[in-house]
Amino acid sequence: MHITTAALAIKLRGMDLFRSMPEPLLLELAQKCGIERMQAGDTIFRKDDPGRSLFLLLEGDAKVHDGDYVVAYMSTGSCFGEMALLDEGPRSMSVTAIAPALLARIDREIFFEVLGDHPDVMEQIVGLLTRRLRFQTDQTLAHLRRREEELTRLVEERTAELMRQKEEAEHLRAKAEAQMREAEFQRQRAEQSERFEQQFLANMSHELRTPMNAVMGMTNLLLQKNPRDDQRRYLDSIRQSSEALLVILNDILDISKIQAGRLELEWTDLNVSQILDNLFTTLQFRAEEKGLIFQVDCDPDIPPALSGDPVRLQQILINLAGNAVKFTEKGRVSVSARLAGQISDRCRLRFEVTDTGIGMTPDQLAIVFESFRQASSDTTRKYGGTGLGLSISKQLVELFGGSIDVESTPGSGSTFGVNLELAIGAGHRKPETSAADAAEALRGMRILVAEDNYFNQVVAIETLEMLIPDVVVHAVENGQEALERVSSQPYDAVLMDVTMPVMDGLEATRAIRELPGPAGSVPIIAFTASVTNKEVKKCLSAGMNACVPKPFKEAELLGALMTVKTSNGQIPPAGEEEGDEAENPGAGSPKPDAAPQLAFLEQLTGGNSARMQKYIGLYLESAAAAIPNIETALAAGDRDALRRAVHTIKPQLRMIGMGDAAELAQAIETVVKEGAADKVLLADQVERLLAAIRHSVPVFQSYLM
Amino acid sequence: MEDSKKKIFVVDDDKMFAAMLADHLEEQGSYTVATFGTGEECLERLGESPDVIILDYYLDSNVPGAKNGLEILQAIHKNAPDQKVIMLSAQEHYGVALQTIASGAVQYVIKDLQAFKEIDSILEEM
Repeated sequence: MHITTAALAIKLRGMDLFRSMPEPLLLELAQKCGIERMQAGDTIFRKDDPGRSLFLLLEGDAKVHDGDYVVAYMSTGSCFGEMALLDEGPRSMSVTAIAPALLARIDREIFFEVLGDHPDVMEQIVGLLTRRLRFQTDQTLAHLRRREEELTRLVEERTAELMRQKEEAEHLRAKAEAQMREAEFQRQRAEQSERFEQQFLANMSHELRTPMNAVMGMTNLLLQKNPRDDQRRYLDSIRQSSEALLVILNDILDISKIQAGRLELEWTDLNVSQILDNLFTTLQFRAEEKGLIFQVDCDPDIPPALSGDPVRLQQILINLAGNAVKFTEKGRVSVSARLAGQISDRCRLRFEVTDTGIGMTPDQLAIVFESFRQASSDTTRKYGGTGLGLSISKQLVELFGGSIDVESTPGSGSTFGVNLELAIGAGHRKPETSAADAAEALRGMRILVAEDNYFNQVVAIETLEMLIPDVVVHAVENGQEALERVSSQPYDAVLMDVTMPVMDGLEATRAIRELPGPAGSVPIIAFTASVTNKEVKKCLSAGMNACVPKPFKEAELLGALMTVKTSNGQIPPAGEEEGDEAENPGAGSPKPDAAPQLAFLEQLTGGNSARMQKYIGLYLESAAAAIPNIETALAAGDRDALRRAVHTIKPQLRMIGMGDAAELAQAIETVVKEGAADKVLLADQVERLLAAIRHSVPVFQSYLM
Repeated sequence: MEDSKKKIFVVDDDKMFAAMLADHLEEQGSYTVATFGTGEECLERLGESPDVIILDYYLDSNVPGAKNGLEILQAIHKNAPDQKVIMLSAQEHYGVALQTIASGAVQYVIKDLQAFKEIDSILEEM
């Protein structure tokens, strides 16, 4: 197609750039315009061409683009590259025809050639272009500014978000830390209260068993001293009551230990038939008293030597059978042990305790193994007991890895079953020795008893004297005295309490083991209130040879003495007795110190004599007050004042180096508190304490000079 | 560095023991010790916030009617619930020990030859 100069001029006039251009100039420009004809898809101005022309699309459609990136679509009448008239700069844009197109092209050179002689027109056009450029720049700047603001805002938002997340994380971390601290705190508290509980149990055990030991021991002693019939009845009743009390006490301690996870089975040789024999002996009398038939039946196929805890198995069976006897008014109670299976070295046992007693309803069966539960609240009143026996039995059975079950019909009886699996042990059992044989074998032994509790001491001495013919028993009150005795005289055995003042049994044992010659290897048997594995290990590792729990049973005491005797071979020959008995001040009567032992004071002060003198001065002040206080209280028979005065001076006696006097003070305090009646003995002890204190005054005064 | 020292109150009517304990603690260089013959005197100075109070059980040998250690312990914890208190006693019976520990004492030390060693290790653990 063709376009005339006049037509092109009209088109150019349509552009605001050339609107006010004089007619002759416009015609000249139109004449000099290049015309580009393009087919669809044709492209001019490749990227690398320098852009220096203004294009006016006369007809058709085209796109201005940078490769695929289109910046503008041109249709008839629109133009591109106006700014090229002002400045020659690199243009990276291309123009591609979309449909066949006709472009008018004005090169910068032609533009300046035509308008060179008409500066006013040129100025007008340049002015317009400059304004347009400035507007575009402003637009761009504004856009950039908006863009920047937008970005800033985004960044701020993002930052704020990050900060928030960080804070949240920080908060979470702090919270987690706080939780961990709290958990740690709780853990420590739990540990602490566990320690207290442990301590509490150990102390309870000691505090409760010690007086029980005295009561039971002394009752047995009295029973053997030909009491009148009425006295025997009272004593029997005391014995039965204390035995019942001991059972309850042991139940409570057992359940506490089980609940604290501290009860361990002690695996040793176990003989089922012997356990059943013991069971029969224990319960036969009670059953016969009630007119019950009591039967025990042991399957002869059960291997005699098994591995298990015989004490605990017996406890389980006695609990079950004891209950059966308790809750059965007529008929029979039978206990049986049956071999239920045997696989290589393990055998399965089934124990059954069947009674014809009151039985239980399904509701009662459901709670029968729970702690502190008895079938009804008046069961305890009617039948006694703690209600712990079955719970303990169940938990003991579980410790054995076995199971317990029960079937019952109200009114016609119950059957408790225990299933255990035990290893068949090779058996390294000690030969059985009868008590009489044992006692005879121990004839003439020299035994030292170290025990701070006066009553326990008496029980131990009298029991030994009663059981063993020609026995020689000496007693001391603490480990220090035991050590001194053992190093100066030969003994065949020492019975040593573990917890004693001044020097405890463990320390004394270690010190004795350091002694030269035969004294260092004297057999030592521990008296312990708690008989946990841990306690026993502690005793053995200190160098003791055996342990006997308090309250001790005669058989256990003899057994322990037999063990140490046989394991030690022959009893070493005892030395001559050179009037020992006269020298021995007797049980529970410590002699006052001849001279105070200043070792502790010296050690405490590092030998600083000014400090030692200061403490001695303070002691003398206290002693000056204590002497009249004690004298007055004794004269007035004021036990409370006496106890307070003795209690006040006691620690000072200890610290100043008068250990024996302090123990005497302790003994007096105990006697006064427990209200023991022997006034003569008490007065004697108090006099001796007073003598010790009076005697110490000039000794210490001389030290101050 | 006076400030870094721990402040310890010793409350005991047994002057000799109190003096021994105070000297023993001060000798170690890391404690300042104030001693009181009765619990009431100690209560008056609770405002000084001692780090630890070592409190005897029987406190009435010199001042008849003085409150015993358990009452003082309870009074201390009424005013300062977190106050650490170690109980002292010549009493070997654990009932008393348990009672004081149940009332919030940190530990219970029997006044015998091991007492100083025990107190040292308790203070170290704190």
